[in-house]
Amino acid sequence: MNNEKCNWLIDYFNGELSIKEKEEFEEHLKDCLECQQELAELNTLHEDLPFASEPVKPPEGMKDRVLGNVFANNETNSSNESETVEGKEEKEAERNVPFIHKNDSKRRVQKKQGSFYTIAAILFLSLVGNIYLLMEMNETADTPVEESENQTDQLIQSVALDATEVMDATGQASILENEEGRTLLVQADNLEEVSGEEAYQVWLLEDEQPYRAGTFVPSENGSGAVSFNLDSLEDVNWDTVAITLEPTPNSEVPQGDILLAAGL
Amino acid sequence: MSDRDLELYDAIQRGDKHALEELYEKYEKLLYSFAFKMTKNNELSEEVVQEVFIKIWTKKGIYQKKKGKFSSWILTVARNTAIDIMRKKKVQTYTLEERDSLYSEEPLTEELFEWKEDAERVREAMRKLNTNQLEVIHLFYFDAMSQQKISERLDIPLGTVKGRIRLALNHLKKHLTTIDEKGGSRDE
Ligand SMILES: [Zn+2]
Repeated sequence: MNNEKCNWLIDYFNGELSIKEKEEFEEHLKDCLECQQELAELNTLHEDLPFASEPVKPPEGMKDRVLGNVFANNETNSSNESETVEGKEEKEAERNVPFIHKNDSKRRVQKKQGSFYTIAAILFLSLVGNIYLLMEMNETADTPVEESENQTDQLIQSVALDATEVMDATGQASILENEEGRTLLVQADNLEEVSGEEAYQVWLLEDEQPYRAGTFVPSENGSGAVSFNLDSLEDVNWDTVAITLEPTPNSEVPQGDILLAAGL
Repeated sequence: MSDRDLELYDAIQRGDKHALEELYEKYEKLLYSFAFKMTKNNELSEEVVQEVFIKIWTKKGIYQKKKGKFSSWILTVARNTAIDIMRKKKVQTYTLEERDSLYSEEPLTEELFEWKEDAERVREAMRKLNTNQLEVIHLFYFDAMSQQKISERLDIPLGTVKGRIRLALNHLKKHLTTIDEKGGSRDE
């Protein structure tokens, strides 16, 4: 190990370097045999390790959605919209520079079945604060593709969450319903950063009895959101939604103080 | 098997949709399961699979033989895509209960279809690792954590992370070699 840059190898492999660092490392790589060898070894992991993934059944209809979007993508490209990203994408394709496709939002909306996902996706995007994408999504949401799948969600209830002395956060809980059941959407802002394994946990309370209803970690600007399928708690007569900060995402009972709560 | 991949890939270069469909069918479950292992999220996993096939379909010549086996190449692209998407979203999601309700695990005999033997081989090797070795491989490869995060998570000095990973991987390679030498884990 003749250079401190040799220590960047792991972060390089895991796409953790900034664009500038990545360039520096690639420069280093040209002259460092040791890193070249180690990287080559790491790359052989792709021949083995992915196969250790537990088999998971792809969701219903995925093939049609994905192939539909893949082929649609090509058609858009060849007609009028073959703009911007191509050159950038070429370089990005096999190394993991953090990168966002301008078209991602469209694809994501198209493959979804209804406005619940649109809302969830918008929440997602608002987390990273990408207003441009958000506008794109709103436009796309009106396209015929979206409407043909026509599944309406009804907002059953929505309340603002009350903060406690512990943290000066704000939040909102909503219940949506469509043919597929009920979903709880919880969004919160102004949250303190988490450290280590900590995560924010949403609970539904029946009297004092807590039920887990989603875990999230806030973005850098302190916002977080999670959706939770209420069908799994169909038999529970919960009346309160609450958020706590937990030492790990796996707490079975709340260990932290309640930060936000509301009756529902 | 990989010859078929190459045939399909060539046909895809010529714009053959059926070839893309066949390739998709072959890799759907493997890529989805791998993406799920990394993202732990159905939506994101589907997005990963979609991105991979969009790259294959729209970027002519993105794969070349000199890049190695097609299956390893497509898994590399899937992993990098999953990393990009996770970084972008910065959201760690869903509880275990919900995750469980969102997918059903299939019996081991069904497995990853034609990847069954590969899966058994790697799993057998993984079973021979101790908990620490397994953990560091998971954090490093599947969670794609930074060195800093791994050092915090394992509570070890930053400077020793790389060595730990290396050591665990050496063990894994050693076990894989042993398995290969005795003719794999095939039932006989
Ligand atoms: Zn080096």
